[in-house]
Amino acid sequence: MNINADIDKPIFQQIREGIEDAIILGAFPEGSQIPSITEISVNYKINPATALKGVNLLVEENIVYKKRGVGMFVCDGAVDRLMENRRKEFYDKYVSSLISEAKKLKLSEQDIKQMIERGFGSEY
Amino acid sequence: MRLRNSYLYQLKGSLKPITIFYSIFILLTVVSSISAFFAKDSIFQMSGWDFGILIFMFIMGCACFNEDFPMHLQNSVSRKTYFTAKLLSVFSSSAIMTALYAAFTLLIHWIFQYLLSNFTVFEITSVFEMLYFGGEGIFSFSMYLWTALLIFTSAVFVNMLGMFISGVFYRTGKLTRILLAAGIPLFFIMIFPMVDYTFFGRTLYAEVFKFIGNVFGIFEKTPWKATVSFGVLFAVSTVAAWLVIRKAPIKNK
Amino acid sequence: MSIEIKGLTKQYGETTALDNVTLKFENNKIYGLLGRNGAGKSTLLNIITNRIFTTSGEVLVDGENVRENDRAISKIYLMSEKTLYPGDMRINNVFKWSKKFYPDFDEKRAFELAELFELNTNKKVKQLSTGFTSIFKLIVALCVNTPYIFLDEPVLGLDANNRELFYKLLIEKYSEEPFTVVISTHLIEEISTLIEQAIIIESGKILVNTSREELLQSGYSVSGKAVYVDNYISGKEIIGEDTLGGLKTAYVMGKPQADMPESLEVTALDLQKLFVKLTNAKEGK
Repeated sequence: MNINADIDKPIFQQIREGIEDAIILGAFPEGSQIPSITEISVNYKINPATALKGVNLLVEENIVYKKRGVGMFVCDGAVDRLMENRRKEFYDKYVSSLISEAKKLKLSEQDIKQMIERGFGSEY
Repeated sequence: MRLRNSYLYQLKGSLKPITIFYSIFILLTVVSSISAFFAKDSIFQMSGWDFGILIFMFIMGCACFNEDFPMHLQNSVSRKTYFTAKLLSVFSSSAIMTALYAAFTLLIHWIFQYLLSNFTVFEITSVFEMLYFGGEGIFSFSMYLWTALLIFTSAVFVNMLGMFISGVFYRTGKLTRILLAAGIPLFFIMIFPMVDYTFFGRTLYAEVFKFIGNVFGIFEKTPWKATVSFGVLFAVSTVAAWLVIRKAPIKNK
Repeated sequence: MSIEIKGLTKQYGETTALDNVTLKFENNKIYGLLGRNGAGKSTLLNIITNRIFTTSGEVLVDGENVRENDRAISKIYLMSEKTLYPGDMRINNVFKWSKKFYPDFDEKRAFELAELFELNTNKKVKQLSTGFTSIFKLIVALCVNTPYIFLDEPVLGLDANNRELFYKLLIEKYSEEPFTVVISTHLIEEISTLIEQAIIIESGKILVNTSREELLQSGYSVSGKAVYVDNYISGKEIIGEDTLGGLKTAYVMGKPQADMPESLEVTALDLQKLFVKLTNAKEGK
């Protein structure tokens, strides 16, 4: 996870998405503990209030829960929930901008499809 | 309590120089008394240490401000508290200096008066004694106490005077400092005598001398006048020092 | 519980160092006080801590005027560029006296930190290099535990490792028990992710006083072919421009239009760029 002060996304969003990514990738399995606010803020050199904001969003969405005096843990079913959310956002986030960039470069629908097939082909 | 800590800080700062001063004093006294002991049938006198104390206290007053003031500002102490603590520590250190001097003088006096009286005479005398009591080395308790009082009051005066001077130097620019440092001695050494000679036919000098003599009771040999005068001078120096310090800013360069 | 600065003006003869500054430092926040060299940052901090006096206006700490007020000033610790400790004082004595003047000073922790930074506490203040001078002062600031802590150019002379260490310690401390810290610096990039509130001071006046997020979202940069950019920005409030050959970048206040032309690229501003352009704009550059 890289925190970039320069890009459009507010830092707390970056934190939130960074942790979400880690959960989806299995780096933080369900039921395991995630780093504390202090650890996160120190590691990425950010204001703890900002880190807290990001993490609280995850708490609200039942991705992560707080155990008093112990720390924060990944909720059961978090992965599924995240996947579902991400899938819903996939079109807006990735497909729209792909299409607008393609139009900029004057690529046709066919060109895109070919590229997608190539992309999936190289995975295996 | 900030006042207490400021007082302790300033007092501790003066203890080291005081220790060095008195180490030298004791060393010289011991050396002198040993040579007096072997000299036999002579009169040895060690004098002028009271003025040594005054010079010492004056230098202390001058030297402390430059370091103490920023240290206090750094530690969130107001100028009011710093100054009050300074006054208290000046009283304390002057008292210590006076007490030590008095104790040593008395000790030496008793040693040579009673233990070694058959051998020689050795006295520690002071300039004050010479001024007010004839300086014949004839010991009396009243002389002894007056000397102590005079040393104390003059010490607190010169200490605050030193603080005033260093405060002035702190707050003025380089040019003003040079003008003051050169100008004031020049005034006394050159300008005043010149003015006196030209316009007053050398009478001004005599008048000033007479005035000082009266105010300090030198002619009538009344030490109480001197004590009062030193007290007044102390009060004036203190007020002057406060006026200079109360709005002193921290220096950025 | 706050420090209120009301209409502070400081004049040095003809020069106005601070011009009617009004600010509030609230509880438990990390502030960035950003300004160019000579903007008035140090003057402001010195007035807040009773080291110099204002020409007019006042500073209230938790409702009490700071001027010559021991109780009010003892709630604040200022770590300044200039070292006010006596040159002959050894560092362990600095800690000792800090404890006396600031009862909440954690002496044990100070020695721990000295070890971390590899600072020899037996050394005298005057024997330390620039870096270590900053370090010992930082250690005092990190251990003094006053409600308000002001750091004036805290990482001056520190090597990269020690800078990292300092930020780490600061964040840890703040995270465990929040307090109010104001970092005054011209090294904006370093602290840009750390601060919650950004205050920009320029020529003695407060230009900006908003949250970091708001400040970054207050504008954007638009780049592309110079003629397209010029078209776009006409009539808009811009704070600066950069040109590289035919490529132009303009820094625009406000939000990007909904229908941005395809030929233009929009990116967010970073704090340093925004700061430079804002303070240059003020001087009419």
